[in-house]
Amino acid sequence: MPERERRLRMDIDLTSLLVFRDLAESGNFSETGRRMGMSQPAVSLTISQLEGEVELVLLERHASGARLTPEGVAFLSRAQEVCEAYVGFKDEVKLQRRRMDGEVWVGIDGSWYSERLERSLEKEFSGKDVKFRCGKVTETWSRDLEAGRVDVVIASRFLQEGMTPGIQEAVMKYERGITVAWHPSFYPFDRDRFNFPEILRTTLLIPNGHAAKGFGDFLSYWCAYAYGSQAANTVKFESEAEAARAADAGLGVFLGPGDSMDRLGGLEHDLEFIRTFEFVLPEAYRFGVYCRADERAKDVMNIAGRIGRAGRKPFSE
Amino acid sequence: MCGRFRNNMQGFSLQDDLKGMSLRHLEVFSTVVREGSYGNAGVEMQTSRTNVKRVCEEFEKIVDRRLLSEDGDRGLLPTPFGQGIFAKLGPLSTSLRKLEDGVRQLHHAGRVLKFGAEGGFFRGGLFTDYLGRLSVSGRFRSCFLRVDSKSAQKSLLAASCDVYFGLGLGDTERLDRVELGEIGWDVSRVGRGTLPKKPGDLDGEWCLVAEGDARICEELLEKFRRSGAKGGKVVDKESAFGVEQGTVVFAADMISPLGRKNPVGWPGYQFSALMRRRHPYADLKEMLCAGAGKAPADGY
Repeated sequence: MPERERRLRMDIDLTSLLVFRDLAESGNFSETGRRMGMSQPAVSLTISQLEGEVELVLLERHASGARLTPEGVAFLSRAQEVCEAYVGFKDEVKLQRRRMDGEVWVGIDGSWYSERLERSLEKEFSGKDVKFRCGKVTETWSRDLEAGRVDVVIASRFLQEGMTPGIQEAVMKYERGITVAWHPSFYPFDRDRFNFPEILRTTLLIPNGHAAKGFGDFLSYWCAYAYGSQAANTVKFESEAEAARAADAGLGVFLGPGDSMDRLGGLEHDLEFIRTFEFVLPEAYRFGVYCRADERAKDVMNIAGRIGRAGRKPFSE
Repeated sequence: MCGRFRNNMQGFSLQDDLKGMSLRHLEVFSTVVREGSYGNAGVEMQTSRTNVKRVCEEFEKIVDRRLLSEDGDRGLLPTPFGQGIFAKLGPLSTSLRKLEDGVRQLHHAGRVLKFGAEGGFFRGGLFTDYLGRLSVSGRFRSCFLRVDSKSAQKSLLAASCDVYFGLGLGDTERLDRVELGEIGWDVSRVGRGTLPKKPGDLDGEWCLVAEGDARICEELLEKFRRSGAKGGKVVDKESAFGVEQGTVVFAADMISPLGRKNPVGWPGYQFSALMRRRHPYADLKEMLCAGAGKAPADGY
């Protein structure tokens, strides 16, 4: 078959390469379906279509999942570069679309401050001549921001987590140290003679990276570095409030970044708490607005600035 | 989020995707931008102007923006958005070229083709003769797996085996069956006596040695009876060694090459290949049929 004809026959759906790459990593059709927002049969069909297009058997399917064939391994190594380029291209297309429409995408994480600020944004921008959309971002928000998937992010983070040279930050709120809280009926910790390593024998209940980026990683690192051990068990929750409720039920000891109890003011509980590491970790927990360091779009800078001003006032009071 | 804000705030999701974008869209769009017209791009890509235009329109739908506009004297020009897209296509196009080259290399090196069958099947002259007539070399690197008939479907659907060969294979869900030809019999009588010359001679003790699907064996027995045989039964391979004196035993001839005709009037087992539906090797069925000297349309 002439070269040209051969080339035209192969018409790979580029999304199928992303599905294939994910499946090669997860080895599980359902897991890949969940991650790619597809059903398990749709993943299976996508892979079959890709195999048909390239006329190669890429995967063996077993009850326990999928395994790459030798041809699948060879194909994956070549497909990786396309996947990276395709993801980059998609980001560029979306970014260009937003620029042409004068639209700004604002990503909001799951932290307590972000949720409060999100509510006040409606009032802040009501009737103003700005075009923007708000959406949820996960703990990978700094990567999404650098890749141009969002233009502005409102998020909280712990220590250096999330910051790269490609991102600029305007902090709206700083907090020191961490908060430890427990139910006295279940744990006999003494607030006056509190010894942090004692809590490592319990289950730690902490907000996840969506609610406080970097906090879980910090704890893990800190325990290993300072005490040479890890907590018996750590459970991550979608919010500080959920983690605190679990602690109130005696399921473990709550740990939160900065002054968590101040944010949990509305929650009814019988927890005792202590603030600790305030001097070792000054300004450790910060809530801010973020955009790309090389951002030139006036609309983006304008909205980031407005958000910064809107957030600084209520939270600094 | 969407709908919470009254004025200018709407929601978005990072999951929103440019779904359906394919290599074809990028190639056609790039060629149109370079050539400045659908017609010239069609000539360049050896396809029709209508096809080129349709692919470009599909691409515009995927990116949700106009990419090209007609400009009287100057022909077809990219819109500012299209120009921006075109400028960013470089790394993706380059990586796709490399992938295509890689796939071509894998094809050139010969793709792995895994044949499965029950133990012993591969040693028989029936299979070795057939394999010799398959034009595998150059296109495929073949390997042979021992797979019992009960595991054949699972093995094919799991893609741990590409083609399963056997006799008396029935239709199976999600698998395609390619009939390669009827095979002859190895007829023997336990003890003394003459061998039958036609089905009508069978009026005493006789049996068929089972192969493949039990339903197919029963159907074959019925065909013998319709051809004039009386009585008879199907026995499994182990039981065939313990049949009574005087019994005529019909066992599938695994030694003789395919194409050795059964004497007129003797029904026989089909030598078949099973493969999963929509197998990626597009020319596999054609190749299997060609090996049996059949046209694909006759084979399945």
